Amino acid sequence: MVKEKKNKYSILVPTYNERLNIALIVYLIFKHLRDVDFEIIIVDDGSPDGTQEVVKQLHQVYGEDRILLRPRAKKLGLGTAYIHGLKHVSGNFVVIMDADLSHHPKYLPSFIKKQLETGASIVTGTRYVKGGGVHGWNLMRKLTSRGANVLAQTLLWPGVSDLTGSFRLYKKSVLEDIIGSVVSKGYVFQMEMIVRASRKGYHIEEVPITFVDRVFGSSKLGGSEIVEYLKGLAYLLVTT
Amino acid sequence: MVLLVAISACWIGLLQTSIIPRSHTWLLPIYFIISLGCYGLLMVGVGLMNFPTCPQEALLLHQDIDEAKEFLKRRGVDVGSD
Repeated sequence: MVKEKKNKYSILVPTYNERLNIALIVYLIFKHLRDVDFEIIIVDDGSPDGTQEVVKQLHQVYGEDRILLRPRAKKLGLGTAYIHGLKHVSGNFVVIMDADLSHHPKYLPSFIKKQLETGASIVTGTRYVKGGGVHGWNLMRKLTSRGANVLAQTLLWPGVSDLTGSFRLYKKSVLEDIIGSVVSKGYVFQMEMIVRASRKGYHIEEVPITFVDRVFGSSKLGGSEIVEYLKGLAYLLVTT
Repeated sequence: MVLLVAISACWIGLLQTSIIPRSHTWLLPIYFIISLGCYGLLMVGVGLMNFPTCPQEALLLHQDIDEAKEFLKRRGVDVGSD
């Protein structure tokens, strides 16, 4: 008799000052993944607002085996947060998502379903197709986003519609393979991940997601971000 | 990247062999870049018009947040506003 390999999903959530959001996210993940074997790995970069205390309270409600707190001493960047979290992953799939509720856990089942249906190595959420969408962006923001996307599509031919999105499901082995060769920071990091995966020939699928931007303290897109983006694009054009 | 190299090679080839009068050939890259630019602007405009938005999601999110706060508060998790 063949032993059926069960899938386990490790959800990596890097946090910094997400005291309230982390509790809400955990609740929503448990709500939407009732019949799924999963764990949540929280990589907190020494948040001064008490995020880790809240996680310990969540341990009481949900158990320490489902919520793994793997903190770091200080803010060390997203890429290294993923690498750090990866060391503690016990699942065969890894989901990365933001902790600020712009990524809603209700889409997790659709990621899982898409992967099971297609056998894809990566399933990435896209905000830019029908069924997906964004809320909370003004015209300027939409314009920058659209302009950036067209530029990236023309130069890189990435094969995905949303390059800078960070709501993704990876096969663990695939994530480990790509993350070692990525050097960029910030959201260029997300772009580099997906472009490298595409160049390596990994099977990538997309699911529509909706993205509700932070109401307070929303990430402003300034001149320096645009410069970083263009530099990142140029780098990717040459090296991938 | 490979495409760029291929196009450049074609252009240099055209220059060498004078199939098209020289003066035209020199201008080809300019035409190409301008057309690419126009195409790009068109795509940005089209994309902007069709930009998918989801205002109802903000409302749903607030409902989810309220539901989560209620559940967690009852179980001793601190969900006071930060």
